[in-house]
Amino acid sequence: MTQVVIVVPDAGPLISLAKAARLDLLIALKLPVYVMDQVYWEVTRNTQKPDANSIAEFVADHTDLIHVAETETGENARFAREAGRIGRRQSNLGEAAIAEFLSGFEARFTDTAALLIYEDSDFTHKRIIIPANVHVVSTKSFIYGLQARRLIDDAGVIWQSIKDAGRSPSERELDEAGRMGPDKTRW
Amino acid sequence: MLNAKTPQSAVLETLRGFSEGRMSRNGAMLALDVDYSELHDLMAENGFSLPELSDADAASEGWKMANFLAARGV
Repeated sequence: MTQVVIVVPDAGPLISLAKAARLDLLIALKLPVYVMDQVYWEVTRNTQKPDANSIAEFVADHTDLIHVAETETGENARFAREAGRIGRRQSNLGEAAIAEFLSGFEARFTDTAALLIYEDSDFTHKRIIIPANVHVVSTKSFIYGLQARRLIDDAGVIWQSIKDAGRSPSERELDEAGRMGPDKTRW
Repeated sequence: MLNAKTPQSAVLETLRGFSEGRMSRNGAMLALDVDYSELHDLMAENGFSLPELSDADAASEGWKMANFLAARGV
């Protein structure tokens, strides 16, 4: 059996799921999840934001499944930040970090396949080469994939809750997002 | 943070452009000087939908994901 890991190369899915309080969906498949170090920094750097804190707490609470993948790109960016050479906007480095991660993926992870999750807005605009053992989904299609696996009841309702996050109550749908069962498996 | 000097009409046009797929996410973030979390909030506050796959495409891609996993014994 080929091992499959989930890779989050983009801040978008983490932020969208955090805003809808559905980060639990990332581990619904009970597969290891790798978040690029540069992406993790981007989404947690501002501790004034509730979604930044919820992402940091979620990762800290699930270290058995969620790992921050270290890259040279991320490390170099950290050194540069510490030296005051670059500012807070480093979103383009996230793409460099995933390109570096994937370039060595087949060699480093024998018999391992990966599921990459991009935000829908970037799903059709990726500028990286995808190895043969990697499958790409968008945040929305990942949620529909969980529905296809019968891990959630209604992907449409969950997606709507992501779109509604941050809207005033009068603009929101009355529907509540479906919830996963309480069962958890530890790795 | 949103640049206070950016006219509201320009903000709305940027949000609309991102929502309709005429502007990339990075382009919208740069234009408004916000990160994605802030862009997400601005979209919601101003009633714009995030760019997204259609329900049919998302369902189709979801089945491809399920098949990808099943083919690998997951």
